Amino acid sequence: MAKHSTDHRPRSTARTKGWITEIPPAFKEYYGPLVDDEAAFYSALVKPLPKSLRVNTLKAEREYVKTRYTGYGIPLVECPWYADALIPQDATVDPSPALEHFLGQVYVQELTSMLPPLALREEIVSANLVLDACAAPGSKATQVAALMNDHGTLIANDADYNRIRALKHNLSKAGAQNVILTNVDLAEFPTEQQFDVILLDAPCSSDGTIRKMNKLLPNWTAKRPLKYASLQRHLIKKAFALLKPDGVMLYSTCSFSPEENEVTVSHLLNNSEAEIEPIEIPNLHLSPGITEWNGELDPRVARTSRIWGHHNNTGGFFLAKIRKTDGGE
Amino acid sequence: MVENRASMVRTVRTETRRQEWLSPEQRERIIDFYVERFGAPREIFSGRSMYLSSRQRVYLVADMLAKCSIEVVTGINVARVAAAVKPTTDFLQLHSAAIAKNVLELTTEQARKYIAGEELDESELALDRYTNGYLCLKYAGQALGCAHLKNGILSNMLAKDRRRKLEHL
Repeated sequence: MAKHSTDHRPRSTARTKGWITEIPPAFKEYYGPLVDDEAAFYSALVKPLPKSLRVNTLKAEREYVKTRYTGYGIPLVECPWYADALIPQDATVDPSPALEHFLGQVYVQELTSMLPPLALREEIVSANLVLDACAAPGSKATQVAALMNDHGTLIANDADYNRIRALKHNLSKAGAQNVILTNVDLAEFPTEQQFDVILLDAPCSSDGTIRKMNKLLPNWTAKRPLKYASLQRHLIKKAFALLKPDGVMLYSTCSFSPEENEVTVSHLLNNSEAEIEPIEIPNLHLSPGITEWNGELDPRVARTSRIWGHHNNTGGFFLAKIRKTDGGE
Repeated sequence: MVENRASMVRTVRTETRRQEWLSPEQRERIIDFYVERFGAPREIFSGRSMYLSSRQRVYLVADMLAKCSIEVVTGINVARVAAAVKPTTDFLQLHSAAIAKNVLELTTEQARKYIAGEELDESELALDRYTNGYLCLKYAGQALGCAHLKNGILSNMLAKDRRRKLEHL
């Protein structure tokens, strides 16, 4: 066996040059009333996001990956709420230029991006047919495929043809063999096709990713979420129509905006036989969805979940676990 | 059960090209290649179908997907077929432990060079043990990809989009 080299010291990716630390007043005005601790929220928002990776259990085991990275001088710690998510002890170190990443044994992925499959883990493991409706570039689809462990069928769809190549590449590299790839606008997806489980990680304004894409901060405007809200309402309605009776869907965005989250879900609840199920992930601080935004929302949106960056040292995220009750349309 | 699952996905359509499922003879050609050249057991192909995609790429998927009239399925890129069969990085890596013949074990520096897309120095490798054809290159027991040996010259066959300058291995 070849000797493992540690000649190359781990590279830190901490960014300081050009990093913006001023929170725009409009941002504070919009989000200030929603958070429990404004100072902590803003402080976390301008800190670079810790690096993280997910063990691809189709190809490797967690302990093996930890041992290898330790050998590189990059000890990894398990995420307290997801054991297959690993974080470099020095969270500024980039874990990607490593053999295990080249081999597809790990997937460099943000922690919050791992949440939708995790929130549906039990349903995914026993599902025959799963749809990842906006799948490119494949971080969640490869995670779902790993959870399915070569059982059942995953349809990974993305409307953007230019992103399909990356999706296909990542699925092949991950060793996923139970996946059908489709390139369809969700609006055109045939409704006679019904799914046990659907992930809808909707296109969004992405202000929950400011810790990674800091340049979003100075350009933030309150109008930006509105651009996506209409599309999201159409997508959630269509995805819900694709669910089998008693099927379950996970609607998610990486936005903090109520317009893109609770308002969208409230609209679905008011117009369908949908129910919200609470999400419980031990050791993860989840905050309930807000129930007022420009008026009262459906009170059931309180069962949706928000992830604020200052609670878990992550990016921002929103999750709604939606079940189609029998006879729901 | 398999048929039921296949029928559930029958109606999905896409605008991209339809894949062409391989005939049993075409499939056997690829399996024979892996069995004869790399000593892979035939069992790793059981329950799997193959289809031809663009640029002569052959993909491996779960059998039940072959029963669907889906226009695009994905899976593992298992080979490229032309005059000869060319193995793929994804397949060799996935079935690393099953690859038993024509394996060339690399040192750390050789592995680093291979993954970066550089050619290896043949004089450092005992290549006279091998016949002309594809070799599976391994490092620390893990298949990295393949190289092609012809009359003592070893050519790096790692796809350009997989090449990386690794810092840790």
